[in-house]
Amino acid sequence: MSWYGKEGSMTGVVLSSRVRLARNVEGVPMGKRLSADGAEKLIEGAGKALSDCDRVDFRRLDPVTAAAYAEEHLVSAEFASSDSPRALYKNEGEDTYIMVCEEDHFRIQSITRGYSLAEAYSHAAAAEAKLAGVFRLAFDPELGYLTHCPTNLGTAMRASLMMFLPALTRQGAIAPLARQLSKVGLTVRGMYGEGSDAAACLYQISNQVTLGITEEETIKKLTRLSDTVINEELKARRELFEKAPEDVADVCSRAFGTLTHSRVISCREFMENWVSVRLGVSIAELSGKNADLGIPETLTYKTLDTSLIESQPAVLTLLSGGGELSPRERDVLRSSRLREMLGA
Amino acid sequence: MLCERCGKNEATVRYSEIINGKKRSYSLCADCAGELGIGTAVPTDIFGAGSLFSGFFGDIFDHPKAVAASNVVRCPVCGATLSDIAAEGKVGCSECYRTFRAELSPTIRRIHGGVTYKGSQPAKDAPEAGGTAGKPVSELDALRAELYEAIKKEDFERAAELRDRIKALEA
Ligand SMILES: [Zn+2]
Ligand SMILES: [Zn+2]
Repeated sequence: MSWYGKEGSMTGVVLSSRVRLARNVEGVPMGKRLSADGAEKLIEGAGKALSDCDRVDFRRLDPVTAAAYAEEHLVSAEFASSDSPRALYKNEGEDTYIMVCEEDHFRIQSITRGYSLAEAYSHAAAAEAKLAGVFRLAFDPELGYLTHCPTNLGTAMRASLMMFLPALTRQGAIAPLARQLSKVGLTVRGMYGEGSDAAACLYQISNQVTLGITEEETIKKLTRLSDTVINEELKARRELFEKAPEDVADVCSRAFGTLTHSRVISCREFMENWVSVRLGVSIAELSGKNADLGIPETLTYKTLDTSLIESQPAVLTLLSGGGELSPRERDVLRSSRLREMLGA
Repeated sequence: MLCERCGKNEATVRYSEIINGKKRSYSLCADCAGELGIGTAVPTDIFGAGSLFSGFFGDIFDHPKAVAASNVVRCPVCGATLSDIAAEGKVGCSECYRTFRAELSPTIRRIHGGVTYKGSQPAKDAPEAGGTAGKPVSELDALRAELYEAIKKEDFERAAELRDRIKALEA
């Protein structure tokens, strides 16, 4: 089961924690200089090192399945759409995914549910140790792990949190927040965004600095600053509800109605209403279930987040059997799945 | 002035960031700013974080030795020259960093702020051997989860207590 179908801590604000490590093999050319034969050896060797993982050969994968992996946040979009030799090793129980022959020879990713960066890091580090048992990983005492792109030198680690920040978004607080965080070496990015509005109010907060800071310090810093963001968001949610309880209840109720009673729903309309319903679940929780927001108490973040991933085009297409769907067919199918998943 | 990234369009966006206490400012055109997700919210791969310039080895040739060496010296492993690396903005293999250490180091210092590596060593201190982040942070994770629950229940006394414990652990 993928991360979004699991339980986790603080899922009201943090959907997932992710740690990525970039690793390369000493003396093996990278990127466009890597030969097909060299790539094959890396893929084979990784298979030996990662005997607890299933291998997915992306060269032989149909494009819809490959795109679905990216929509589930399990591989990068570049990896999904590339046409060079590459493979994914996955250990779903450990939430660990290793892309072989991405930009770097190995990109180890662990994506865990909720707020659990340390767990994600320990899973990623465990996979690294297995690779180090088979390959001599490129490392320099002054520069750290040697990466294809010099921006990743050092720990070559990106730790990130996927955060749901609807109340801060509504307050217009995201841009100032992003500016503040960038001053201390963190990056905030909108996900599912078009232009300046992140339709799903989902943001990825990650470390930018990788040299001169340890893995542990990186995680501590990201966590410390994220705690502040979480508290601000919760405060803003309370204020929003206290200021206009009827209006909030109206928006949430209607959004739930739309998700459970539509017959044709676009990805965009889905996401806008998904935000209101998820916010509603959180506000009900914050108010000690006293608030009637027209959303059944049994609706969980797990179900909501699964509906988010399963409403994306490629995943939706796969779930319907994999045959090609027109956008209209997808919109019809999305609505019927939503009625099934969320229906009262 | 022209955009520092593409060098083609008029720069209209001024962007600065501070890494390790060093401020860097860039002038970018609207297209490049858009592509890099500056002032917008376009999702990009997190490994792209910080790679503002694909060709940020552009200043490689400020180093006098570099000019002479640019097309002569080749990396013994992958065959890349300094010119190749500058053009691509990426090395050809790990050995390139050693072959061209003197020439690459000003650029690396500029990107990362002149600091040296701190962090884990390959395999030796991997988590199975009693690793770097493992336990103390896991305890923090648990405390934070508790803190979150306390805040939700508006149990501020408990929250304050948990905050103190978290602070003590982080110190
Ligand atoms: Zn430009
Ligand atoms: Zn080389």
